[in-house]
Amino acid sequence: MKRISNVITAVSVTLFIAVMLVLTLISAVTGEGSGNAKKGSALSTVISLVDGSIGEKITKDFAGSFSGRIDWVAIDAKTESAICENIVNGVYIADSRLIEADNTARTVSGKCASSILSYTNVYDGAVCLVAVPGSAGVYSELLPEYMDSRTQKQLIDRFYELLDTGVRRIDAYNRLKMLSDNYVYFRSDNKWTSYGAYCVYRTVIQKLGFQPLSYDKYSIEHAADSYCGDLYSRTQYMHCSPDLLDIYTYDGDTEVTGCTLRENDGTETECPLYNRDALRSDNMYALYPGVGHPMINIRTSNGNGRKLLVIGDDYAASFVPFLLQHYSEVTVIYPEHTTLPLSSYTDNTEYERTLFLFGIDSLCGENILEELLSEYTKGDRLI
Amino acid sequence: MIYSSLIFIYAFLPLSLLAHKIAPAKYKELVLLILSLVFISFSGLAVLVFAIAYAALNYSGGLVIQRAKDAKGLSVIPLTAFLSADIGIMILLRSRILTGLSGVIGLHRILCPLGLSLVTLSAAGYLMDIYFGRQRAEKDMVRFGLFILMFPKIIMGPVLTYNRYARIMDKRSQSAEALGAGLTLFMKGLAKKVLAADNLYMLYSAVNGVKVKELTALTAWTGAVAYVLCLYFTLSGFADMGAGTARCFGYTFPDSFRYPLFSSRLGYFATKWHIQPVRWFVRYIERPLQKLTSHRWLQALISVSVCGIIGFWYRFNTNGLLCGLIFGLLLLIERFLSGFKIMKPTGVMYTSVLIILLGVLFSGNTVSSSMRFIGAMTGSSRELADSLTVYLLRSYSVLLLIAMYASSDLLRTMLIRSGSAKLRSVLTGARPVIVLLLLISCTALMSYSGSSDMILLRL
Repeated sequence: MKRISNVITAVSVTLFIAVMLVLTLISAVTGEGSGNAKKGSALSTVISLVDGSIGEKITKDFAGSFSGRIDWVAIDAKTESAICENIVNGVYIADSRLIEADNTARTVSGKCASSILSYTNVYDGAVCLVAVPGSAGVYSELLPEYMDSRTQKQLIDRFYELLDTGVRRIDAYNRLKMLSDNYVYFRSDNKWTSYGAYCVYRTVIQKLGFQPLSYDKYSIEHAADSYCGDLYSRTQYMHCSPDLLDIYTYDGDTEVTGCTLRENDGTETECPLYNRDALRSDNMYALYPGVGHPMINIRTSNGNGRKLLVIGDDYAASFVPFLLQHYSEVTVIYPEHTTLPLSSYTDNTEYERTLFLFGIDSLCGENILEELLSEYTKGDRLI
Repeated sequence: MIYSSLIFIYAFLPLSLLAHKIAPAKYKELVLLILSLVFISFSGLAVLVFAIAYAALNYSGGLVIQRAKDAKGLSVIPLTAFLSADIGIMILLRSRILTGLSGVIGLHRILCPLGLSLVTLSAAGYLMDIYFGRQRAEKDMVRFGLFILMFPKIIMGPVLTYNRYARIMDKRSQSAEALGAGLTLFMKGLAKKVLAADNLYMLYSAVNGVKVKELTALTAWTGAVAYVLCLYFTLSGFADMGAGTARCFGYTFPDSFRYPLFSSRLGYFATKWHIQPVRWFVRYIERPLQKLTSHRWLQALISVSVCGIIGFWYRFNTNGLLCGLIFGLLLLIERFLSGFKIMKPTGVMYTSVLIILLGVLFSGNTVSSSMRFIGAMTGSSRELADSLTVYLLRSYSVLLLIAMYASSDLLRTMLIRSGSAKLRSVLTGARPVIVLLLLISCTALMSYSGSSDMILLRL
């Protein structure tokens, strides 16, 4: 009996593994690669070969191409929920939304702050900074109590303390926290919604010297009603309603006259403000201006000649459309996708202000501004 | 690469088995060695070069000691030199001496190869066995290379004497039955790691993330129990996966763990926990030293010291050393009081409590932090339980109960005592379905990250 059982085990498991291997290979061959990924230098490739990080990448790529991965992750969510907490792949499944559940004690390294300070010292215009909390910071009361609910607020405060000279620091946390009963954050993503961005815009634009535009004057288009964010893709939790991707259009005189995307190799292409093709892709959030590219330059019919440079992450993408009524030109740089120093993309002396707008998670990790602002940090001391 | 990853289970393992199967009999070991080098290369070329150099060092070490011994020369000199090199490398890589160097030479990090501590024991044991004349140096480079680098044993052992390893290699029997048995053992280990250890680690992390002064006694106990169970399932899980893989290739490795938790005496626990490394320390350090003296108190001191060395070998810090010393002392006291008879449940209770307390000491980075945690377990800081305790117990009670049951030998004992052939047949018949379900569940749990990494300890 034991012998037969072992033989059946061998046959069934081997067959299952073989079928999955073949399906995964087919999926890997037919699947599309990530076209926007940063390409490393030859040196970094050699280093990754030597220290084994390429092995980790292969392991991750294999998992990424694993056949039926979405269904597997859904089974994962059900299994995890059944045997322990509602935390799946670092995401807490609350009744109404998914929230990043990071229990690690994070600290502000100060390197990002150091880069911004160095930039401010050299730059002639004014520098403003908005550090945006993720949904975990605003909806912290939904998380289990052992996860420090004050962490994101503390991180933002600490980061602002490091920039006590020269940089105008704008509070987004309290505004978003106050409005947390509204649809200010996606249910399936860590990021804010367009409405959340608008709420913070009202504060930011006053600090930039303008009067905010009234909410009533916007026409709101639900560009997509099936957006499933990063937190959803990590859990495949079916009971979380998909989110809306909104486009806010102001019924005023100022119109967008042109948008130009610039790549790292210097090529420039004209594009619409909103990339509606993205709604048919895996990354629907790329609907917003410049997402997935190093730089986008947006020109408007506003004749005041004022120009703004925005350096930010995905939070900035849905925020920028609100600024367009006030400026004749807005340039957005996404350091996540840049590989060159800032001067290779644009001349910052043309802009009267620079606005840094990042999620606090981006500012706490490794210094994402290191390469972009390297021209300004040389010789400066680190905090 | 580690065993608990999708790429290992769904790509490396099946392709390796295929390559090994189609290779002519006399080249099977060579094929396995090449596969082992590919496996190691996933940790980086630096680790691969190190591994090859390490195997070459010990291969030549064995030959040099053998030659000195045959020539009736001073074989103790090469033995000392090669042992110092082996142990020195382990200390250098496991301690944090090289951490600062990684930035200087431009690497993202300097890895301590997974399994180095176990490989060091194997290599040192081999050299000492040649010196003491228990065996002759191996001339077959491929076979010796496998002794050091064989991928089914490189992560979590077992630590074998060369004689025993050679016997296992000679008795290779590859068949569908062996493959089934190997896959069953592999899935058992995978489930231990992915289903049990990883989720227990979440519970341990949740408790560990709370400030000690805010911990209630029951929460602290829950965290400590989670740590001990997580440690057991991680180590035994990897050991089972390694042994299962070896079985698929036709090699039968001995057990590394025999349900040590819930033993009725500390002595029983010691004989069932991580059997081969513990035996190695007894065989190569404790016994030779004890033979040097006839004083019982001195022999006892040696036993306690060896326990301290084992504890240090695991953690490479003061906590590990202290934990080992206290364990050795408790073992001594237990032997001294062996005349007192206690009921089995009482024995299980006292052993479990001591193991959990020692687990807390073992887990800490400093003695003072561990003592503060033990203080919280006594209820010195706050009340017995709070809302966090209720939340954690509500969320994890099913997992904890299943984990405690699975870590005991209750099922095995029940089957033996029932004497029911029918029950055994039903369980044996259901095995293929259970194994497949375990594979599917573990695949799902690893589907997002692609792997379930080594946690708590890097031996």
